[in-house]
Amino acid sequence: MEIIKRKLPVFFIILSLTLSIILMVPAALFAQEEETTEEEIVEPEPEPEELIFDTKLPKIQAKEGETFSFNFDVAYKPGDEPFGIEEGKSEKTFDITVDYPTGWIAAVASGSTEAPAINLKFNSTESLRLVAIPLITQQPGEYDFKVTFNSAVEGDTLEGSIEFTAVAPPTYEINLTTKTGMLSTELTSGKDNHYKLIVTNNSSTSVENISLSSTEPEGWQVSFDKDKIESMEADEKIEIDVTINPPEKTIAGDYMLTFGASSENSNDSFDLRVTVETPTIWGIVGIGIIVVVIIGVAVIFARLGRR
Amino acid sequence: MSEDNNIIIAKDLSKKYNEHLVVDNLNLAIKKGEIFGLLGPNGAGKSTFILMAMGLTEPSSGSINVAGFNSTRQPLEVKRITGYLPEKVGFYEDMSAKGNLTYTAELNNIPYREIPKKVDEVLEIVTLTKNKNQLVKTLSKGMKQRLGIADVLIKDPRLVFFDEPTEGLDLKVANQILQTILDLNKQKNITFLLSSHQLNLMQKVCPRVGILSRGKLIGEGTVENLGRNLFGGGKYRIELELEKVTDGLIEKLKKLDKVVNINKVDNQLQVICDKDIRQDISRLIAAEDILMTRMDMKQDALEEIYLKYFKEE
Amino acid sequence: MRSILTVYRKELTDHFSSNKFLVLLALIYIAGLSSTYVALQNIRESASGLGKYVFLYLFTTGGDVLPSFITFISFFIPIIGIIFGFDAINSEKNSGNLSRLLSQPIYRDSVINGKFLAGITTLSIIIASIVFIISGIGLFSIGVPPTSEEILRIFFFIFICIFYGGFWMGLSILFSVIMEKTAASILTAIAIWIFLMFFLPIIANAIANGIAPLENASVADQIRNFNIGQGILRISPSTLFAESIAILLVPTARLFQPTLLNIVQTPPQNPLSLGQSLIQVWPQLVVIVALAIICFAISYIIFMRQEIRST
Repeated sequence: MEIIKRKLPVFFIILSLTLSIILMVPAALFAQEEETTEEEIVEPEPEPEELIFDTKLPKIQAKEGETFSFNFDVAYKPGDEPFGIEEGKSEKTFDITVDYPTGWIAAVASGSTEAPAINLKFNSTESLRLVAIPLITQQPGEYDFKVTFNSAVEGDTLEGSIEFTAVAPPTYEINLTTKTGMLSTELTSGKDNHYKLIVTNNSSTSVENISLSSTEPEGWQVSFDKDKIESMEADEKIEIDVTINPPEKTIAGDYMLTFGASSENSNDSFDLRVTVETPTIWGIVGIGIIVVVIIGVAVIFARLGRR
Repeated sequence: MSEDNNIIIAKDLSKKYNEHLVVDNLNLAIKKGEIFGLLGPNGAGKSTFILMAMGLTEPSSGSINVAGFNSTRQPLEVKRITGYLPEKVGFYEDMSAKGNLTYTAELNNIPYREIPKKVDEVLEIVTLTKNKNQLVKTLSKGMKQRLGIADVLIKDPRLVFFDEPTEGLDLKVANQILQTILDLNKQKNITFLLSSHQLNLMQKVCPRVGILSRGKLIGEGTVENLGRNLFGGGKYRIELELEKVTDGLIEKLKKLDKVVNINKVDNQLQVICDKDIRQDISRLIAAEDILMTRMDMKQDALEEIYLKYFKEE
Repeated sequence: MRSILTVYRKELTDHFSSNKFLVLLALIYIAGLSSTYVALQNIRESASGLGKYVFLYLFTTGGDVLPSFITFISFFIPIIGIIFGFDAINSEKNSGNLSRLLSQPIYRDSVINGKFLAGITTLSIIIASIVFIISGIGLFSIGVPPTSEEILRIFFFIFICIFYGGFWMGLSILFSVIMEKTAASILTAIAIWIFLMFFLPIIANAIANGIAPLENASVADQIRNFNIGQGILRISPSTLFAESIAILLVPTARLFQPTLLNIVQTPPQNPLSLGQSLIQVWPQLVVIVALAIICFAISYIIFMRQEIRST
């Protein structure tokens, strides 16, 4: 729905323009016929020299980091007395300048070539493109671009321009990772192991209501020092202390835990490979058993063997 | 039952292995304190007799008592006082002499404290003290035989069965063994039953022998008496080979002192007598003016018995 | 009584001094430790999906290269049993020790009882020690103590191993009583073992496929095929043993499962209680124990009635 809402005005503009062109062409023809008939009567207004710009989409929106591309048509009408055109020539050269906001770079291109200047034939329409590239992550908002055609003929004041608007929507990105950046760790079963996570708001705007979650093997206890972040400014980093408690009877070995952070617009998660170490007590008991058995066998040997 | 004098009493003792009679209706009594030789060729039933006496094999019929105990029904009592040295005595080769004897001592219920002393004592008797800790596999055959004696002495036996005590030993070692037997008999008053086919060796130590042939006891008594019984009496046999034999000569010989009998075969004479009368005989023959080509005297009655009974089998 | 103890101690000393004991012990320790290593690798890798009876996986988990401990042990127990029994009586006879031994004031059965007990003790020491060592290693590296039920299962496992070994020992002692030559008795025992271990499965398979062919078979026929094959295999004590220890050490296992020994792959089922597991394999256990007793009893009777001959 949102898209349609946004595009509706554009649509109307296009519709009305097309309608007006369709309606005006016969009218103009009529007018001409009338003029020829009425020429002798009324001194006709001299046809002015002019540049006519036309575009279907003067305002577009693109995802963050994407190049904006505005298509437009330009037509040059020499009028009755084109300024500074030699006899027999039927084109005029214009310099193209583009005004763009900081943080952008923009240029007019024809096909795939950048065009700082252009020759426009009389009464023909040229399809051009304004390419605008955001150089940095843009704050959400509207950015205006203006393409101006200036006659390259000295003394000529002929000039035309068209304006475009690029709309940068707000971006939402939160990142969750470990403080160390390592995606594996070692834990001891049966006790609280502390571990640090980092939440980063890489959005272009502040983000509200970030909740932290975890998926852990059955019986494990995982808790965060805060499992909800009220609000985070753009580029803010928050350290989360997570407490992982594998149950007493966890088999030593590798386990996968998944941590996630999610807000309304964005979420992130990662898998942490956890190697559970044996609690020392069982290690000692285990070694104790082995030692006792080996000593036992050795004693039997010593007492019974005849070596 | 004359238990006072006899340590072994066998009555109508028979043993069949698969219908084959190995011991046939044997009656035998052995006195306390004697060395009795049970003689006979291999397969005569000597070992089977010993096994029955030890209670290791049941008789098919008849009974055998050792020291008043029925060997078949009270084998443990018999074994407690009886030592048995099988023909092929075996020891645990990977154990020391001492280890083997200790094991025997333990099996005889000798209190653990007394075992080392007892072992030393019996090794001393058979002069193996030096070899005490040697593994049995390093001992010579004679040493093993002596170890065997030590092994039976562990239990302080009243009676010892010794199967083929001199088999496979050289004469010197065999004599040592026999001497040990004599000493033990004298010093500890142990009754010995020696089974053997080596009659000449047994003769030296056994005042009394029994002769077993095909399971039957064909003779029993002192060697002297056996000879007498078997050959019509006489302790010595003097064989003469003469130029000619006249009746007059035989009559004269018969009148000599101690002559029991005279047998004549062609021109050979066998004079059976109780005394060495070779001088008298030669004098007599010289007086008769008969040429004598040969004169032998045989005292070895056992050898004769052996030849008579066993060689023909 | 003392005479049994004396024979027992002497035989035990013999076993512990023998090279065959050292070789067997080393073999079993190496097999046990390496299979435990593999099992631990697998357990650590899939630690989270193992459920309640982790400790038992130590014994039942194998790898691609090495089989599990229970596979090893079912292979080695018959060998231990045979090796510690095949020359029990005939070597004594041949060495001339038997008649000397029997002329001592002891009951004849002391000899065979003492020897059997010593063999069983040796077997028990070998098996129990490696099982305990594996448990120690497991405790050390898994970090989870076994539950009391697991401990009970492990003890039952050791007992079954001992009785199974007792069967083979009884059998080889029987041959040592009947046969004069030690070579004959060991070869006979090993021939029987090889037959039961390697040829019976082939025969069972062939018969089962003959009666209920597997090609285009319905599920019912496949089950029939399996039942016939398994029925034939159950003649063999090794099958009974394999079934019993699989059921005992894998609480989730049920008897009717074509692949019993490869447990980790089968879908998890609810574990049975020890009592239920035991009930499942009760017939197997009874037969193993009975076979051990029967084998020993036959050799006992024959030995007691045997004539001691002079040569």
